[in-house]
Amino acid sequence: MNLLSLGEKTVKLAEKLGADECEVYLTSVDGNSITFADKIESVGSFSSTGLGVRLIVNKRIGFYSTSSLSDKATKQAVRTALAIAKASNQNHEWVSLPTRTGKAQVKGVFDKEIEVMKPSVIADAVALIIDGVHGYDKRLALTRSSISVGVGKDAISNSYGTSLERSESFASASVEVKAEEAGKKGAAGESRLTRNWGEIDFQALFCPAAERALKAMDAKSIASERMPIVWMNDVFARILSVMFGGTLSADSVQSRRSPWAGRLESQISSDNFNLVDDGLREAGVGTREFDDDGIPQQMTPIISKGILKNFLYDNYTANKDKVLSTGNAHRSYTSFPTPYPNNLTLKPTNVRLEELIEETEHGLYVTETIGEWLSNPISGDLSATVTNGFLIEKGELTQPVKDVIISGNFFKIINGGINLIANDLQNSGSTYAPSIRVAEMALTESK
Amino acid sequence: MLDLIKSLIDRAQKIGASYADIRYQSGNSSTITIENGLLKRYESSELSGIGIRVIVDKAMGFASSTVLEPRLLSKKVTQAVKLAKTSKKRAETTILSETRTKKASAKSSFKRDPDSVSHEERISIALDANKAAMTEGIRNSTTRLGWFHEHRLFLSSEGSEVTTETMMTGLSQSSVATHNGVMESVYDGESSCAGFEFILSNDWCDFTKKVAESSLQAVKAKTPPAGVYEVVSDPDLIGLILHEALGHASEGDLVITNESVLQGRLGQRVASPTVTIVDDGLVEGGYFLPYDDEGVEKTRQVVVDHGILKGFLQSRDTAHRMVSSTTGNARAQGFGSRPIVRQANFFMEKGDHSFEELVEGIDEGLYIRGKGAMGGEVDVGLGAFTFRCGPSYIIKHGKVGEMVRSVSVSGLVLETLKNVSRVGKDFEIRTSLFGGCGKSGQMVRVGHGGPPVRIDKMSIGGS
Repeated sequence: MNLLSLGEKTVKLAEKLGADECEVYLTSVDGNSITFADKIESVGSFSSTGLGVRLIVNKRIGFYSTSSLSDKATKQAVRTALAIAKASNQNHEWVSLPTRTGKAQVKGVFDKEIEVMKPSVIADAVALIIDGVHGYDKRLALTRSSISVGVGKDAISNSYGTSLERSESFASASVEVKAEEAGKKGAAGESRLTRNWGEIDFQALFCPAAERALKAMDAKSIASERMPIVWMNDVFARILSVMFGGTLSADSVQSRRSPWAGRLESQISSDNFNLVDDGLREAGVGTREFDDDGIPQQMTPIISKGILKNFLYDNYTANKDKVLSTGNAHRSYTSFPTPYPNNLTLKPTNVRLEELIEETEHGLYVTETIGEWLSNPISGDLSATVTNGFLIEKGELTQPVKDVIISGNFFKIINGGINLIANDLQNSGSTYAPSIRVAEMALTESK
Repeated sequence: MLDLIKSLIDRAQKIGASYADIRYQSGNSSTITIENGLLKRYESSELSGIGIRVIVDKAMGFASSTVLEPRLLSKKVTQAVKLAKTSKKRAETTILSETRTKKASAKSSFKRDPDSVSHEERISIALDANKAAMTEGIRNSTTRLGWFHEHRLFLSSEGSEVTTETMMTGLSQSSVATHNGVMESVYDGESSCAGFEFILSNDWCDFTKKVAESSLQAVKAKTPPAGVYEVVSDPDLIGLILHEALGHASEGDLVITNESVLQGRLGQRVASPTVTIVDDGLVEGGYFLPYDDEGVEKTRQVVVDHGILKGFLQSRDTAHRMVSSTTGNARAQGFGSRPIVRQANFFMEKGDHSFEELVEGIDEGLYIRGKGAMGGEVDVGLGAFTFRCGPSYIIKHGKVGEMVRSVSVSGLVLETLKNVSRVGKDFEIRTSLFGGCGKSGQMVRVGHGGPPVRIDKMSIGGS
């Protein structure tokens, strides 16, 4: 299907029917997935399409979307969007749809291997994992695991001559391993989300999960106290995403929801905490030639040497602040664009994770948590329940730990709390972080 | 469409499927978002598609599409059959338990179709509600008015033909307040499986004002010290905890893989004798689920009866594997996902204590509340849960006192349920248009709630 020509045709139709400006966003995704435990539970394929029409009549915005790309559905979408626009209040802050669109140079976001991949290739990877886990230790079994791959195409057309199309691929693998022996149980998981099939080492993926699941059989809670915490890279990436994913957006700043409003060029963290939004990262999960407004993605410094440097903009919020968009528009075809980080990245150092642990006299190494997403990005209150971790004694991992709640204030943690940052960058979704060590946080035994 | 689907099922059988079912879904949904007195977005969409599930030599294949052309759908059927064959050597044996073939249709009750209300009126209801909450000290006021109307049709090679029509409407409010450099946000929503009459008959300005007041109070509130407390939970929070920590553990698929803390405990005591817990498809205030996505009638399932674990929630596949009867709990987010075991409306039955009786005798405790809670998460295997409560209250000398904020609770569900000492006689079930329950990447709407309860020991993570 030719998304671009359908987009252009739909923009023209909207203009003919009375829209001052119109934008059409189109998407199509095809992929395969296998869900498995010790055996394959289901093999599936999915195809979906969608089209969203955004149009403006005298500063009144109308929007409608449909999963069908048929002629009839497209025309109906335009008509409904027009009706909604006419019924809507004027938005006096409206300037225009994006006019400075185009593509950036990016690498590694489309994997041809995935485009032509036969489901049997995925089944082979699944077999590798199943046999691997069973061969690793007879006390291990797999639970709720899956591998998915897909390719997607998105296109944007608008009244200012924008006619852009991008192709992307993704591969994801999630492996959950449980260990059981004489009434003792342990579980652990590993997951990867990448642009390319070759980036996932299926042979190695389950090993850390298998090892942690075995150890977790002897995990205990520990008494409440304050101690240094080493956060494993992907756990800390999730916390970064919760704490900064929404509040760095110019939208949340403009609507006074962000605690960072009015703090530009002020010091909000220690020198060692350097945060960027790298929209051009090679093979980054959030790397795209252009954002969902059609604006080229870029590298945007967020916190440099402790100073807050930028917020993240899409076209609408940039127009409102009379600045240029940072290329951070994100949307699905059913929604308006809104600013969101592309690849939020905490800069790593050259210190190894092992050194973080070796240099800790008495502390906790946290490898899996639940509930960290319940932390509050507005007040900075951070809490997470550890489901997998290890006590660190004299620089070595000792007793496996579970069922303790860690709490603290994230704003204080980034401002003086983090005393070591490692070199082991890992992503959770499109947030990239190395492992870090916080000097001291409160632990509460969970009973 | 019906004839096309029937011909696709025939085709699946002709090319090797011993069983096939097809789900066709169509509908529309809308959300109007108002922020700080301005119409921010009016998002409206329609969605339709087909999901094809086949069993070939006891292996399962699945294919879905939003393109509804007969030729392409026929190809999708072939693809689903081929995919099932891909896993043949390593496939888990899928046998669907016997169930009565159904020819039925059900519709959630609604009087006013949203389409009968003008765009202008819909916008003005949301705008008025939003402006009412923009009181002094409020930094941000966001109101969402939403509704959807959905048809689901299920057909199987066994002859089942089930249609359900669901309409839902709701309004949510999020208010952010600031005080002395502290910011706090409080969120609440009211939703109902009903038509626009639900929106037209409620005083939403009053509702949003209360959320704003709660945020203004919360921002000045303290956080209680971490520790173990005697608590009284409101219906909302105990409902959330039950859904997450016990509901998921009672899902048959997680029991089979031995991931659930409830595995091997059937017939054993898992809660205090005052506790009875049920999953049901049709409850006042809850989500509307007369049939599941395998065309099976959703029946009332008692999970815990006076503290004893009595049963699990099942799909046809897990029911067969566990030699149990089906409960109608196979649900899919939509046509693009395969049905897995999910809860419907999971709740505790009411007891006979008044609220005063729940609080009396507590010298120093907390009244923990779900209203405005951010949600929670659970480790199903450990039965460990953690929740961020909404604005809550100190209990001192048997009386509810000052508000506290940023309270999180955590614990092990089986310990917690054994510590339920009194169950209230009030009862409330809620559902939400704006959120839902996630599992294996699929979101479905559920209902939760029950009575307020007293729990003798609960870990509170605080300051």
